[in-house]
Amino acid sequence: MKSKGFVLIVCLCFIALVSSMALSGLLIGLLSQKIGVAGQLQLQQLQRAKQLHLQQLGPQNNLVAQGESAVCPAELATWSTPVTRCRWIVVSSQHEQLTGWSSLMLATELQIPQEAL
Amino acid sequence: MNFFVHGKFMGWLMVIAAIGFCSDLVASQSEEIQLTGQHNAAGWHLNTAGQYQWVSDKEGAVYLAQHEAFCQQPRPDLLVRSPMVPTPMHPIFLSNEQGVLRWWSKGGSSQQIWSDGGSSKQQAPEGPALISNQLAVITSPEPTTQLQVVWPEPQLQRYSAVDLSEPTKPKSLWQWQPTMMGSVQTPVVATFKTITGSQTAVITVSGRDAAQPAFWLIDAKTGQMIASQLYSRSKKTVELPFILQDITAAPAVLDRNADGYIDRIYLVDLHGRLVQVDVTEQMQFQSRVVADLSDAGARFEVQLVTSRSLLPDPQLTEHGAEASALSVSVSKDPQKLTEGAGSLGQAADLLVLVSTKQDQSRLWLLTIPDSPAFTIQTHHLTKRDLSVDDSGQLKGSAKAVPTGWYADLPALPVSLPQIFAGVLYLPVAATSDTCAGARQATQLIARHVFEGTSVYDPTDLASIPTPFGALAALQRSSGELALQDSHSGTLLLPQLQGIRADCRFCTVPLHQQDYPKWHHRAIYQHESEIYR
Repeated sequence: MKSKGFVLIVCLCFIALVSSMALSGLLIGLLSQKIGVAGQLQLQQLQRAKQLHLQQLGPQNNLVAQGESAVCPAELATWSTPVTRCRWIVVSSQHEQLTGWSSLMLATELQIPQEAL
Repeated sequence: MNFFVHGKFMGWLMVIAAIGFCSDLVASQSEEIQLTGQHNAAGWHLNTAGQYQWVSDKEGAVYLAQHEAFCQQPRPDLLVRSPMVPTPMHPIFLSNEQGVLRWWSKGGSSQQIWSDGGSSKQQAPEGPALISNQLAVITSPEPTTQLQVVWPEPQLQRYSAVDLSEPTKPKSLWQWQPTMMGSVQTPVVATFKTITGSQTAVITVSGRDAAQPAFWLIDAKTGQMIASQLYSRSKKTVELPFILQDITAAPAVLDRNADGYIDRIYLVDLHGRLVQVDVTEQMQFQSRVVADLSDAGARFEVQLVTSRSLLPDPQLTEHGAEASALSVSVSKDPQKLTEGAGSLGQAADLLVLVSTKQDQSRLWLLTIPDSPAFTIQTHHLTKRDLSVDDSGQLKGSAKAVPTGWYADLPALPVSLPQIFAGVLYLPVAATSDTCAGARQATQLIARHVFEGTSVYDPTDLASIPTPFGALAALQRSSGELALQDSHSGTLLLPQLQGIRADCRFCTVPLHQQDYPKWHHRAIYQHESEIYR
């Protein structure tokens, strides 16, 4: 009688253990799926925000060189005489519900005399 | 009858005499106009006590007469267009001939300064040495607009500085004469970053027949020596395993990190050993020889020209079929920005040298990478023929990222080479004048700065109106950028070309609407968003 009760308890414990493992596995799977979806959404948002930010930097938006003027760093089509001046500009974008991005832009301006009319 | 014939004869004689007298009068007047017109002889005379004395036209003319070789029409060594130049004289021409400093504006009369004393043991620069600028200009906007000129006086073997902020009232600033010096050469101005702030200095080299090859940094304000570097004539070191010869070519300076301060100096000795000198904030120097062109057997006496540049992508093709990631400009496709961000080409120093061997001049262009693996020698360079139109392609003939190139010049240059948008321009002339004509060119050399290939159609270069003076870029009313003679204002090339980042030999016409050019240098997410 005692041994039957012991087997029953062991079976119940085993069932409880197996069901808890199954439940936790299901729970972990569900959570990881949710985390994965959330991460994917966040990445998509980041990508979207970055794309919008890059679109903002496009030439069609006519950025205006405002920052402090500086000596131009090296460039491929170089000038030996100081006819180019550069300005550093930080361009930031913040869209609703989207992550904000900033870019460091360098504007190279040409300072050469104009033809007399 | 006899009387009548005699009378007629006398009459003719009188007419001829009258014509002769009139022509003499006209000639003498025109001579006077030439002498006292655009470039008179008036000026300032610095006496041995260090004071300026105003000298009238007559006294100045006496001085000029004592120097037979002295040019009546001053040679325009430098044209300064800086906004710091006082308005009535803008732009101002400067000339240094045999230590006599002259300045004038377009259409105005010239003024001059010369000094007392000295002997004529040292010869004034001739031939190749004349290509250099002969003087240095310092312009500063703060606290008051200032235009300062530093020039060498060969006969006194010293450097002088004058304040020309008011060109009609020059102020003597200082004179500097080093010991152990050979000959005075063209000085170069540079602003260095120091521990205490910044320091504008004049760099001078030791010249011919000096006790030791050397260079000095002199305070531009006071004329006091700030620092010096002497090189041994007998001992080689690990850092400098070469024995340098005389340094006569004026140095070139570079700002490598674009902070507005000079941090590197380039020197070349007479035999072509190129020395790279890094300057620290403590005004200490680290020298190394980065190129040895001594096997060419030429003399390097011409002022160096340098520029900081990105090297072209080694994967570039002749036709630009493969787009380069070097192109960091903002394009219409925003996706390109991500490619360009942070993807910059390898930076290097560009050095342009001119050497002479007997009557033959040679142009050298070297690219010195930031960490050079070897000392550049002539056999590392590609030879180019300037008489050939190689604007097309030189497939497989040149190295992927060239160390540099050299080419023999058809004639002696008349001024220093210049680089506009990656194209090297050098005016040359067959004649060897020392006066105003010395800066007048009859032919223009224009080459791709990295490849050494021709950029313009030979017919375009041949149709340039000659002679022409110093070159400058000009913005045309239509927006195109053009090349002009900055002295006379004559248009030389109606369309300036610039090199392209996406194609090895290609160039593109430059237009004002391409500016300002936008470069995307960094992109980052807002920090507050990341840690939210």
